[in-house]
Amino acid sequence: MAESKAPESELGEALYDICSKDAFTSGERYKKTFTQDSLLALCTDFKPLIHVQDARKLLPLIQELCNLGLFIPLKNKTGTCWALRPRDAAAKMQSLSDEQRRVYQHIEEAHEQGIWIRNLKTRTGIKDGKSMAKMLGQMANMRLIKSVTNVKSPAQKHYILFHLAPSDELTGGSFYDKGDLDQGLIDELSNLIVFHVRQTSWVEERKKRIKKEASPVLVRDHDIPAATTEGVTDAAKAKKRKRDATQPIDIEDAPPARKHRVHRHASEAEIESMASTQQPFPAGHEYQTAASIHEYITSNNIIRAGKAQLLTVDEVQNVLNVLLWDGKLEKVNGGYRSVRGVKFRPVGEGPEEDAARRRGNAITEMPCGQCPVFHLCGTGGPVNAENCVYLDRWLGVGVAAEG
Amino acid sequence: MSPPLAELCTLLVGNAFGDLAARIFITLAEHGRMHLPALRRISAIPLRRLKVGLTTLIQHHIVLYYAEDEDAPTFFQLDWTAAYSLIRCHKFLQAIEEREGVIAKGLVANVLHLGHTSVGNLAEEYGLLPTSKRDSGIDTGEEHVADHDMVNGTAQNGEADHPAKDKITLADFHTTLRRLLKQGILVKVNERTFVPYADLQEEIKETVIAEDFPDGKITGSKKSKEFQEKVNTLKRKYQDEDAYSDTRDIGSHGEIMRSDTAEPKNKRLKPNYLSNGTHHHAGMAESNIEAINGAIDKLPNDMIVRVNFEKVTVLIRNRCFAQMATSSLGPVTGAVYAALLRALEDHAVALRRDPKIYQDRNEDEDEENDDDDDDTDPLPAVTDIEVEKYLDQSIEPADDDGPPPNLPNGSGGDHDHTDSNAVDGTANPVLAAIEQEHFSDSEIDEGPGMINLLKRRRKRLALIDTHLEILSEHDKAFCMRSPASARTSAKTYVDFSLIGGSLVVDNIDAMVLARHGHIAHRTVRIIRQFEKLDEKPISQMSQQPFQSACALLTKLSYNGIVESQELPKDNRRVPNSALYLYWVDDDRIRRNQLMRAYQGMARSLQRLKSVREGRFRGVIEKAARIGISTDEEIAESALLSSTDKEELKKWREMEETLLVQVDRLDDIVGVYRDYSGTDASLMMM
Repeated sequence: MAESKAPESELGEALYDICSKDAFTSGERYKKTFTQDSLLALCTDFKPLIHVQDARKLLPLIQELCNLGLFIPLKNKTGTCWALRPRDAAAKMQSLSDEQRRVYQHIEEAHEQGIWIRNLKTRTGIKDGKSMAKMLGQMANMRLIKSVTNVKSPAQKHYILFHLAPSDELTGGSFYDKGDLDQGLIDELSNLIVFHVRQTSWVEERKKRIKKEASPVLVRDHDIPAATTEGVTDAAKAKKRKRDATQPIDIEDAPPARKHRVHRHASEAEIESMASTQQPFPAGHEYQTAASIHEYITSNNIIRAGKAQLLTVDEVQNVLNVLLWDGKLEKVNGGYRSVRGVKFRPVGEGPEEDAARRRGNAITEMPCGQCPVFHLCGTGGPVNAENCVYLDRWLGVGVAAEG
Repeated sequence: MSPPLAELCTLLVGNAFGDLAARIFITLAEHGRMHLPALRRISAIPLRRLKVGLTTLIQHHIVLYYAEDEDAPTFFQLDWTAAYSLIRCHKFLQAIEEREGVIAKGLVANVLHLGHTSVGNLAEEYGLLPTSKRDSGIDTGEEHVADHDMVNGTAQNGEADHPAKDKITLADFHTTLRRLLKQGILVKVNERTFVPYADLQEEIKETVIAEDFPDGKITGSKKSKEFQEKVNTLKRKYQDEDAYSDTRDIGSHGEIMRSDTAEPKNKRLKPNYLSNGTHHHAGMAESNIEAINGAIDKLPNDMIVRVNFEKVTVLIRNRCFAQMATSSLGPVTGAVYAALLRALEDHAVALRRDPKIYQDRNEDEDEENDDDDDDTDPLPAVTDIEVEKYLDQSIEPADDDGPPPNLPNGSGGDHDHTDSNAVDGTANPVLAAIEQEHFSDSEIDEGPGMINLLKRRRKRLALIDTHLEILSEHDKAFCMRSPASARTSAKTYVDFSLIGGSLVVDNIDAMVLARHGHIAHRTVRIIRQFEKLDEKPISQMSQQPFQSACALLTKLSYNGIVESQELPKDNRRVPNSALYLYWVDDDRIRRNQLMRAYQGMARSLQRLKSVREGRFRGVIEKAARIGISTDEEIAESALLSSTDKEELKKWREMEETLLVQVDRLDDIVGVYRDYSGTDASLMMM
């Protein structure tokens, strides 16, 4: 179909091809705009168009391409410029009515940001919702446009061109999946960051016989997770390093997971003893920053390549902020350090139970701390220490009978 | 005063001193300050009994009194700090034992038991006076009944004191008392001790007016300034009189040692120093000096002493802060922090007693002198060397698991004395002087022993420096460091209100986490960081859907965790078009939690009493008649049936649960009320 509606003039088609090639090479794709000068420069470099040396010869070609819908005339500060439209879309546009074409042009103007249906009605002056919906439906069926969900206001239906990917502002960035917050990804990533930061935050000494001078330098090298393996034999160490060097570090490969699975079910005393092996680095030590953590995540095949490409330092920073607020990391010296004794969830286990995180204090553990009849409670009152059912329950069933 | 606290303190007073004292206490708590006829009328207690009860309470400083002159009526009012401190006796004694040893604990326990007592009385009871009579009212093991009524299981304390009492010598007795007085754990008692603070202030002002301003005119810029100066002078005079002094407070009948050398700065017992015997200039215990000289600095027998609850609370606070440092940064750093806090205690006392600094701190800062920068600094500071004095001797740099020290770590002696000095000399100029002193003193011993000792000390100082830097780097700002200069070594400050404040916030967060889950915990921390926020940014930052965030905020608002403010967007002022800003009022949460803690403690004690006198009364009395108390005795007793044994076991479990709960709630009260130093609820009447 594209072949049949190609510009009759071979020169016009050649110009479109060279512009298209240039736009794709630069990576800007359909965002790239061409001015008259830049088009002339392109013609000079391209043999079939070498004779197009001035505006007089160029403008008829541009006009022809505009008529065919392959060039979109735009205006910027310096004057008129042109952007490209895909061949398919241009061909399909020929069959659109004037009203539909106007709607299409407004959607096209909104580019990656998309346009809210109400704004579309205002700008096109089409008040009738039904006819607008019908037009949008037709164009969507023709694969000219598509609807997207705006994460900031999910109820507002937005439209963008079919061949465009919606902007991060619209989709919410890497942590949103089709308009929904990808909590699973955030949890896994947070867990991984805690694991990674923990590795480089403390001098981990699990046994007394470790050589004191050794650990800090080794630990700092975050390419080797679980650097302190003093309990294993040399052969085992070699094997471990080999595996680390050959295989990408993935969530599944996190070595201390087994160790922490034990700790997860360990008693409080054991957890404390584990924490007591963590010794701080001297002041001035450089801890992990948002940039270094971002690099670690994106360069180690930890998340899907597509996601990794889209992940920005700001997004990692947001996760780090949440970890700070959750009390898992602390900010030291411009970097991030794991809070001493913080645990991380072994890979493969479900999200941490809320109850597991609750440490509380003496007030929260006692019924008086959250007593719904706190103000009624008093000596000789309707609720008192002797007949309190909450206290009975807290102290055990034996007392309930008495109470 | 809040009803839960009044109820709790009445229970404590009742447990410790009986129902009569409790009735007087609750009357004064409910009606405030009053004179004897009013107290008699309201409490409906006969005058004779009333006087007996008041005497007990005054003896324990729970009731203070003031009469303007001899003919004027005497007014009585409560001292809430002393009343609440009854719950902490066990903790106080534990803290004193940890720091000062079992003899000090025994002495303090006796003083606590009596409220206040004279040194002579105490010495007589310990059999240290030639005319010792056993009727002085001092606790003799068998009579240690009040402890059984006190909470926190202080029942064991009486028993624990006896071995110490058997062994105590005259030297130990006076040395320990002096040490306790010098640290401010014990304080001298005089007439002013029983006067309420506000009355004392007024009395001072009236005295100044009567003596220096006969016309009564104290207004006007010049006059008021002069008046304030006179008032401050009199206050300082009183303060100096009340303060313990090594030179002034010496018994007239004792054999007095007047040493030519400077008074040993540190009077703390340090067994390790004694064992190596080399730190004679600083670490040698006083008792050792006395043993050598055969003379004792006796305290006057008529000196009356009592326990200073504020100071003992400081000991508990420091322990709590050190625990926080330990859990945040590890045991070695925690130990260094504990030593830092201990060293600062001395400085706080010195700062309070130094008239110059006192003046600087209390007067207006109009005439600032550039040379006195250090003096005008409100925070006391210590050097690493002072911290080293109090650092646990078991912490050896060579065995330390801490951060890689900047100094050579091995004990092989690769670095000789000169090299090491080059490493440290700039950081610790004072160290060089100490070293010089060591070498000049020890003419004969310049062998490996001395060098090793110096190396060890240097390493310890480097270790302290490293760990103090780590502490100052922490987010919670455990301490602040001023860098070393050519003349002075690095100094360390601690802002106690800051640490206390962060401890309060930590506890509030823990409460929110336990009660409302981790998303609420995160939300509260976000709001606290940004002070005031709308729902939308809250939902974005906490990574939760908008609707969930709104629901959560409503729930938190209902539970009094967050506060909200409505901000209308337009003139219509309809709720739909209004903006809601949320913020966290930590102080309000803290006060609410404090009330709940008081009530929780009161209910625990009441429940304990009710089950002791109700359900378990029979078995408890039976066990008491048989004369068994421990778990083993109960298990082995043939006189008790299996049902009785089971009941006794249940009772003991419940007693332990409730008493431990009271103790833990008291820890929370300490955090919420005492440690930050900003709460004045106990001062207000």
